Amino acid sequence: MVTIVYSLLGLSLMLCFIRLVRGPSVVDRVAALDLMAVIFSAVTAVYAVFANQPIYYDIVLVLSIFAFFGTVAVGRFLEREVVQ
Amino acid sequence: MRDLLVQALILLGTIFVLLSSLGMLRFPDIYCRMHASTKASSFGLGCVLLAGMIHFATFDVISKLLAVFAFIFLTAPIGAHILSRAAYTRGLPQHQAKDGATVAPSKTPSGKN
Repeated sequence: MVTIVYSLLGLSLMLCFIRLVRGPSVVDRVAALDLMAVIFSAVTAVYAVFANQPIYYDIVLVLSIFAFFGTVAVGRFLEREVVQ
Repeated sequence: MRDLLVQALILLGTIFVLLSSLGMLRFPDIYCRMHASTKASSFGLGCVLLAGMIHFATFDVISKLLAVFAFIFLTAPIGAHILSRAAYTRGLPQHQAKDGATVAPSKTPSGKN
């Protein structure tokens, strides 16, 4: 069970990394990085259950906050770059 | 019984996260990819967090997990909206459907990636 869940999450990280490398535009790469942050949050949340330690949910919260702020900052920057 | 429910929820959430990143890889343009990455990954992470709530079942863990849940479900549409507006402003190409239905292109198409 533990092995199956971690291998599925690792496989989804690899698929996201392929999109990060191949992505034809910058926006694709930013979206792939955002999804990778969500997958890392899922890995940490699964680890908190399997290790029986709820302290890891703090890491999930901080990781999702940083991912959201990074996505918003890069998105606003990419939008403003063209208009001028 | 409770352990079985926790494991089933974790497996369901993991499968949804995997489907989300498969859509991120396979869908034809950035707007379809945003559709895959936002909704399915939010639901998958929500399933994993619900499994944590059932597994620990104490007040502080459940309140913290509800905060994480609300934060994720509030910020995922905002991030996707900002990214797709950036893609639309930059004039990124849209996938042509078979009946030729697309949205009108942006007013300032730049053509660069």
